[in-house]
Amino acid sequence: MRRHIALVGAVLLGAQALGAQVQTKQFDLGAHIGQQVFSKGTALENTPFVGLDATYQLPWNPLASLIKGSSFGVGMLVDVSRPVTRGDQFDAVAFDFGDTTFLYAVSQRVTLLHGGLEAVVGVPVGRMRMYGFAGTGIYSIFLDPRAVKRNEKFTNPMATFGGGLNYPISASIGVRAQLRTVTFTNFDRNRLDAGTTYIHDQRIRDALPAADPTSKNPTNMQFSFVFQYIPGGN
Amino acid sequence: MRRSQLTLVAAAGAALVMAACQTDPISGPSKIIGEPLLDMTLGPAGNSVFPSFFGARITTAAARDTIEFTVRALPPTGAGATYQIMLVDTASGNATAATSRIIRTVRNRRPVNRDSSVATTKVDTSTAAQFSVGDTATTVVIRIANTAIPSYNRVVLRSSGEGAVPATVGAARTGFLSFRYKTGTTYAIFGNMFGSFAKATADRLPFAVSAYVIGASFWGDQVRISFRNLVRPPAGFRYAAWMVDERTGVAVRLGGILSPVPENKPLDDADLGTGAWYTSVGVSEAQVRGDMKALGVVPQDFTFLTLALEPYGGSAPPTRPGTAFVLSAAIPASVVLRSASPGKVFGSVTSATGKSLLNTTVYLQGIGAMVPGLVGSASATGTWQFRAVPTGVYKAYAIPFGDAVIRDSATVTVGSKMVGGSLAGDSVFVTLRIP
Repeated sequence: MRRHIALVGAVLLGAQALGAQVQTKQFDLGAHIGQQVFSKGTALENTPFVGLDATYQLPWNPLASLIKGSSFGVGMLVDVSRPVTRGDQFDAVAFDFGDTTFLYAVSQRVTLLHGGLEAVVGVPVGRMRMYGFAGTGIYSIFLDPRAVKRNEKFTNPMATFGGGLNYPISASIGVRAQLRTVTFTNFDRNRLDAGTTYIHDQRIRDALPAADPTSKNPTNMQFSFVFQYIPGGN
Repeated sequence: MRRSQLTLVAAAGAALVMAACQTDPISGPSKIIGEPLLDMTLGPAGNSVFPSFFGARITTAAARDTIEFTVRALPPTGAGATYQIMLVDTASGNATAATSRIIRTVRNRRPVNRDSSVATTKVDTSTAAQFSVGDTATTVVIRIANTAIPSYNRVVLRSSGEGAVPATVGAARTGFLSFRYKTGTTYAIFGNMFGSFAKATADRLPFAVSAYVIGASFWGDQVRISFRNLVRPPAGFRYAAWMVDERTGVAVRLGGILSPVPENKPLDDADLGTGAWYTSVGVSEAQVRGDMKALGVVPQDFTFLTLALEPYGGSAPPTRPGTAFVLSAAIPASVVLRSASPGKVFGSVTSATGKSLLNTTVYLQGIGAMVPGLVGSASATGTWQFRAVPTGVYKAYAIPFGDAVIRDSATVTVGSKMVGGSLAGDSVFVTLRIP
């Protein structure tokens, strides 16, 4: 767990360091808070998340000749959430007490980390700015060592795209409403099974409803509200 | 760094730290699924009697045209189902429906005198190569009178569920009970086999009790049993689970075996069928799913659960399980504890002619039971009593002292009621009249 905190802290500090190096109005920071909605096949329950992004507005803009006032930048993103796995997506485990057996669904709270790079384009819509982005990166899922009896994480590439609406409150502060999709690759739901160290029940195999169809490339959604800060904005 | 920047970073950092440090008891087995499983130990049944031949003999006359044999413990057939007798020549594979008669039927059923609980019914049927068996395991004595007997060398019993008697027998299995009466030119009875018959010995499959029980449990309103490697039932037979109350003889059929979840497909053709769940000798995996609520079963009113063999065919399954129990288990103690404490049955015997009432035999027999459950004698004034009678429906019978015939009977229902927070059996008074 400490490693997670240290990692997130390092990213935050790094972002601040970057912010100190950029020129005025060529760099903005966003702090996200929102809800993560997982694809059913991931066996993860929807959960809140927090995150951060930092975008550098490039001097070169491919849309400049097409849309007046448009912007183009590259940035990085990082967010963290702590979803709970859905125990009903895995085999039930049995606890035998003499002539009575109890069946349990086994869940665990995992730590999910997204990090990546993205390209952002924005166009003005009146006072507001509409923007879209696409990018790639990695996702890491840190399993709960209390549940799986070991320290284990798995990291795989992910792709992301989305968009949102930016409302400036002042020259340096704004708010954004954003929708992001995150597509995992090489996802294996079975690795989230926290019941592997228990005795799986073989008697009542339909004690739980059939698990949702899963995919190696599930796509999840993030709805977020973003506090935006533009260092040196005026 | 400006104050606004610092505030923003501090807020984001605090949120991340709180999220990362979130601990709760969610990890691990935290949610119980459904009702607890009340487990049973399902194993080979100690009270089973499988069908068998005995006492077979063939006439010594030159014609060799009569074979007589006894078939013991034939399970009941369903409505419209029958047993068939055929003769087979294992050299050529030729087969024919045998001309035969049942000359005697013995059923372990209602006793007719105080010394015996066996009712023997003599039946001299007309020529009948097919016959059905009623509501209990039955022993029949069969006589085959047929001049074709010397042309064959085996007697095979089949269930009509297999269809008509074939003209030839080959590698495909058929019939469930067989014996040999002729080898070359020598007539001798041997080779009694309960199991699927075929022309060649290597293709036959003698039945043996063999299964790995994964689990047998009451689960809420359901009975669930899971198996691996059940031996295929004899041809014409299938597996079915029953709940039986030995005290009253009541039996309820829970259903046949099914393929595993999620397929849940009936495996009633396990004797001869082909499919993913079958090997040449067994059923790789199967389950029983009994819905007690739908069947109106009150589990504590039963004493054991069994997986039995039953013949298929006809329009309905048998109404009783017979005695071909393969596996059985006592009802879990945690279920039995819910049953009512025993009731009492008191009564008196009266005589219209002033006959002595002393030592009049009075017995209670469960409405579906084969033998009496409780037996007693009346006093000089005709009173009698049974002080511990499990709840259920019984028949009370009276046989006067020195007599051999039931002179009166009455149906007795021992119900239950709540007394002090627990179920207690009723006290019932019954009057029986003898001449």
